[in-house]
Amino acid sequence: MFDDFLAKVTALRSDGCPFAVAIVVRFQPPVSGKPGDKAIVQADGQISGWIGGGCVQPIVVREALRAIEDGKPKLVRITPARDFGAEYGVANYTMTCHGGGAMEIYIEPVLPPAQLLIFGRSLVAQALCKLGKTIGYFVIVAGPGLDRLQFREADRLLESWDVRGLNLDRETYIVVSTQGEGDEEALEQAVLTNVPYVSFIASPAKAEKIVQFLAGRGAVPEALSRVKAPAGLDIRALGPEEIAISILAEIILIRRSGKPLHRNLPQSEASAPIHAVDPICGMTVDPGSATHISEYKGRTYYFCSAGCKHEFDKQPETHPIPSPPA
Amino acid sequence: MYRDIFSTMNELSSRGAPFAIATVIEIGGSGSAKPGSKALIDADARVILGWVGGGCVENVVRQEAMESIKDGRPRIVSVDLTDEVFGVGMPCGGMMKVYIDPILPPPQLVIAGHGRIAETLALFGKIAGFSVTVADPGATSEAFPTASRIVSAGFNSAEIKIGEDTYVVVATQHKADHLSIKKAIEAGAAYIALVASRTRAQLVFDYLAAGGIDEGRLAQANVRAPAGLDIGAETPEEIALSIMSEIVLVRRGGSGRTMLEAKEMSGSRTVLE
Repeated sequence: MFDDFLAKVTALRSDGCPFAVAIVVRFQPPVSGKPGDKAIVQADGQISGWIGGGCVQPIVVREALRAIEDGKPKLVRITPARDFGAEYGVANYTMTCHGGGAMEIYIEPVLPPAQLLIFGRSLVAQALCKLGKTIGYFVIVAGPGLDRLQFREADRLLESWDVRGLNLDRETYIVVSTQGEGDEEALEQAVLTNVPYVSFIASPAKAEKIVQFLAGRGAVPEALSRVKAPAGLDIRALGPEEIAISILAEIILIRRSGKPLHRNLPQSEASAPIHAVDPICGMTVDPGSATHISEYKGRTYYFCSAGCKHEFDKQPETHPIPSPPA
Repeated sequence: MYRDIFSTMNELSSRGAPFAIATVIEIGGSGSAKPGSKALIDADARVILGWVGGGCVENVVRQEAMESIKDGRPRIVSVDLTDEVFGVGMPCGGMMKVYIDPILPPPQLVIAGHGRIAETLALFGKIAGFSVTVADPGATSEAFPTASRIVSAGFNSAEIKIGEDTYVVVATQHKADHLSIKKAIEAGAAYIALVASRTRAQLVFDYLAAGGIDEGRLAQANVRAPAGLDIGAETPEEIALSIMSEIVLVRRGGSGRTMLEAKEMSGSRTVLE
């Protein structure tokens, strides 16, 4: 049982897939999930493992997807109580199964490391590679003529400016540090991507010249305007190592600014309503797996059972439109 | 000749002694030195080795070398050997340009404490050109391969000497942190930072005040607590980088804003309009 869990985690890790681990840490019978029960939720909402029944599962999936999005672990408390005091890091839900039990589930996102994509083989590029790896990024260096000895720490070397083969759906930061060797080619490829950070290490005059050149070649103006040049924090960095430090400080600043991280998570499951409430009994229903469904005045209603659906269909107008639990 | 110069440079450098290299780069007219002639000059303006010309040139070069060791800036000295009034006062004939390059010992980064922040900071410090000392009973050379020195007796031992070119980061999370900060303030360290939460930083400041270091003195010493630029660092490695950025900023100047913001604030146009 635990072996299956571990194998799944290991496989997802090596594929670089984001996921969240959910573990039942406390329960108050009667509920079906027991402490130690575990599940893995992937970014597309797919759940494997077991953390409890139908009313718990949609909540766990929803909170797991949020955790994958914001990168923060949390405790989910599902109790029959209706009034909760706000607690930091705790998401409270009303238990809508009728048993009267309660449970607490700890959810922790496991995200692949952010990628640092460096164009060029300059001394700044070399320093960025070393420092970036120490901070924990998955470091990719791109460009012709790379010397492995100068980029020992890199996770991947790419002998070309063409980075279309890379998985840039992952959180990625790009630094173009070509310094005269293929500036135009590298920056042109960099602005084709859709990552949250592209910086170009060059003097303002040179940066302007190259940006104008690329604009003339048909590069998208919005993409060009997002390029950070001059790059980094203003710490009057002197020499390649200090420049690399100032650039990484800027990347951390952007990464930790609290804005949602750019990750092209599969949208279908995440944006679909993952939560519906049975208007008859108030139970939480997962629309994805619900088998008892009714349409009324253009709205879809989901039910936990045929009984509830039957009750609703008799007199749909008398039932208030349920609002999902907070 | 070259061999002598380089072996002497090596010797000076490994002793941590500052010196300047003077190299003749241009000659007009006759002169006793030729382009490429070199001399090593120490902080007291003494020629240690080499030759860049006779008496009239030497005095100027020695003085300028001493100045360059003081301010850390390389320079080119033009000596007009024909101008008796404004020149060096000896009609040797011709002119000469000498490039003077100060070679200073690396600044010191002293880290009190061990653990992931301290380890990463020691690596970053080494990469940024600091000579790194780690002062902590728990520090090992395995955990700190980039440290030049590990002092197990701790920061407050007499083995740790702080100068004006010493950057101090206290990352012990110990009760005695205020004593370390006090030592660094009294020795006039270039940078003093305490790795702590705001709450604990205030506590350490209170201890310092009780120990005779008042707010004015603290402000004057510019003690950074919590340590590091505010870039939202979360992991120990990110915290180490925020501290290293702050050290560069204190050493070099700058606003700490992003370059783009700094540029916009200085009133110049952005690259794209």
